[in-house]
Amino acid sequence: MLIERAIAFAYIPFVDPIDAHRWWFLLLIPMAFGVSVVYKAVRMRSLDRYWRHVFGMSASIVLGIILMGAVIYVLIEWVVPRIAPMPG
Amino acid sequence: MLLPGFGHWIRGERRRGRLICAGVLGLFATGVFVGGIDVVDRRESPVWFFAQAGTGPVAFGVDWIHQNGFKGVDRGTGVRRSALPDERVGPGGWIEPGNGAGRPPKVRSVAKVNELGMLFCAVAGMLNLIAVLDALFPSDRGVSPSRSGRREGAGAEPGVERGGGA
Repeated sequence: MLIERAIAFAYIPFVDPIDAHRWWFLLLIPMAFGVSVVYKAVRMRSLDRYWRHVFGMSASIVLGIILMGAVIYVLIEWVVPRIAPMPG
Repeated sequence: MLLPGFGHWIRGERRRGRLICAGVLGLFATGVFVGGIDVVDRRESPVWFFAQAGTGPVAFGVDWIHQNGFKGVDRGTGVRRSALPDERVGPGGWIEPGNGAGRPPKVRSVAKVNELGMLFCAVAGMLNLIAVLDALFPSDRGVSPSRSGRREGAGAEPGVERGGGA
């Protein structure tokens, strides 16, 4: 009975969502990689050293997003409270 | 639009076509893997589907499977919808109370997992549109004289990008 219940409620890939609520931000990496694969395939004149360019662009996207996140964090947590402190 | 990268493939750019196909379908499959089949829904998320449809028949096929294989008809309203966690889809496609005997055909994704799954599929669709435009209007356009001299001169990188625009 217990096994039947477990099978009935089992996770089905591509039908049920994965449990990524705690590490959703890591999905930036496959997103950046996928975008880079297609973008470089369309944009590069010659596909020599294609993968090197793909990994370079993926790293640029990931580092750029991390940098933007840090800048926005500083802006929201440090700069804005000094410019316009919350009343009370 | 038949299959991502097919336009490049029939133009003789086989490797480029294969890479575009792998990239677009990879992003789309990752989106469905992350958020479940729930992320491709023409009826409940029409704006997202507008972008996802750029992937072509793949998106419409997944949506058809979702609508016809994983949703049921509400007995009260006659509307086709996803079964809630305590419901199941019974014979004839009607939504019935689960009574703890089974699960709905799919688990609905929520929050960031749902958003990211939809985003993956939407980005795949939009990138495929860029690939379609590139296949329809192949060009080596826009290399400005100052940049082309640097790029096409001695020691130019073989992997430089086509075009000079953004």
